[in-house]
Amino acid sequence: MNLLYRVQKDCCHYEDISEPHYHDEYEVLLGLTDGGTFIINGHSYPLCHGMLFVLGQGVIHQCVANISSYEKYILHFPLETLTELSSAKTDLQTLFANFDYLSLLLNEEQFISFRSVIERCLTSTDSFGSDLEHSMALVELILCISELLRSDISGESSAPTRDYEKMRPIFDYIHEHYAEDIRLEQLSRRFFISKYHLCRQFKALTGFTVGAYVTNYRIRQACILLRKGISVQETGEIVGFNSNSHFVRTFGKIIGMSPGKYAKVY
Amino acid sequence: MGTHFEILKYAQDRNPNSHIHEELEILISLNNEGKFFVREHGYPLRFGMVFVLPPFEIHRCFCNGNQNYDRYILHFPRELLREMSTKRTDLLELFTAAPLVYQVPDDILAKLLKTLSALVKDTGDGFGDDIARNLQFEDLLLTIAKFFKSVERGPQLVLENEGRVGEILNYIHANYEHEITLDTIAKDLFISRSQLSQVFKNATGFSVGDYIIMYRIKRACSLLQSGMQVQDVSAAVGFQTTANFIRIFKKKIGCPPGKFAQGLQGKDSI
Repeated sequence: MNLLYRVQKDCCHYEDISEPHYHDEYEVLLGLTDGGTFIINGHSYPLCHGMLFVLGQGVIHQCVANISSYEKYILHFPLETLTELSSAKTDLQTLFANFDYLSLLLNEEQFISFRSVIERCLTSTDSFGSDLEHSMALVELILCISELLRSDISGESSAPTRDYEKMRPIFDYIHEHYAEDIRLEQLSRRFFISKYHLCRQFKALTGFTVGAYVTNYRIRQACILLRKGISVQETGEIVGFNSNSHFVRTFGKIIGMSPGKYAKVY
Repeated sequence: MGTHFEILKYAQDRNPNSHIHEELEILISLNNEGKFFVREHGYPLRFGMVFVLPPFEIHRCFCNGNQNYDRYILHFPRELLREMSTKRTDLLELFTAAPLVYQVPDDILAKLLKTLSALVKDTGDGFGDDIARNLQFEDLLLTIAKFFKSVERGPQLVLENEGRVGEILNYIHANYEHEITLDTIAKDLFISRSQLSQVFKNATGFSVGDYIIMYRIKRACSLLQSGMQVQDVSAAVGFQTTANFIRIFKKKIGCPPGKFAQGLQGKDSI
């Protein structure tokens, strides 16, 4: 069984906050802690302990999580994996092809069983048989998910929020101009929305204040730059911090280590 | 994953007709009765003994008298192992190289039996059940494989054959191409005919004549696989006439040799 898949336990800080994006693979996300919002096809869902998301290929999603503390498992696997597993009776390929996404708050029992299966996909040793055990755990996980899909296929799982469509340009603006000085007044003038309304809606949708979101987004970009080997000084300037000491302090507070150390570790 | 496997559980005393088959076989003994003969050795069956037999291995489960011998027997094709195997975990190589015989410790045995009884009972037909069952079966194979691997350097259970059985087996293996009768063996090995029959049957469960035929059929299988003509194979493994060879081959393997050679396997059962 040479099944293709990748599992991570939130090792990449920059994935906690992302621009809207999609993969040509399936994605499974299991939230371990509370904090943040997951936006799928314009509907926002809370990121919290026990929240399970399964995304089909090409579904646009965006993760707006608290970069400092949010923990999750993420698993990606391509369509080929499903094709290989499908049998005449159990057509996983068709089942997975016919849905966009699933979001479900697991009860504690389900959560524990899901977590243990994912962990079995993740453990890495080199011993005889361990690779097969990982693959078998993945098959088990896909079977669990397919059960959920089949029971869920009837209805929408959560009430959609249309607010996202209104906020989308604001996200885009922040993602484009994060390096500049972004002020509430500026946003409210530009998008013809009162400061009060903007704050309230942004917070309701994402769980973040606008300011906190901008800071988190800058730190996220900083993580990417530091991983590329760009110096701390330069990184701070590029992502829009006015002073280097301010950058270092903010980075340390959010990530839990100084940018210099972060660059070394990754 | 469209693989097929078969799990049988026997509680009855049954001495099935001798046979060999292309599928691999795993036997898990559940009590201390009966004997199992494989690759020139007879093993008294003990609770928790596990045998893994490569394709076309001559084997026989037998007992003297009316004991019950409980056992699980698993049959599965080589393809299943090929599909499962990876570079790091080569089950195909491990299971097909030679017969493996080990006494499995209680904790592993308990795990095996739990999975087996679930597999035997569970006949669910819903979405995903087939894959779940395959998964359980593969888990079973992997559990066995991991144990075997961990004790690979340790001693396999090997049993000395009683009396002169080894000698008789060697004689058959060396002379199967020619005509062998009880008389020729008895004469060449300086043993009485009745003693020969009795000793051999007690140790292997096969009559001498039956074993000679099984060994010839086993050789025939590998010659057919290498592409030799049916007629030539028949002569090479010591059959007097091709018709006789075809008839016996069909009886033991389940399909005529020509068809076998084309890779079209008839169904064989225990």
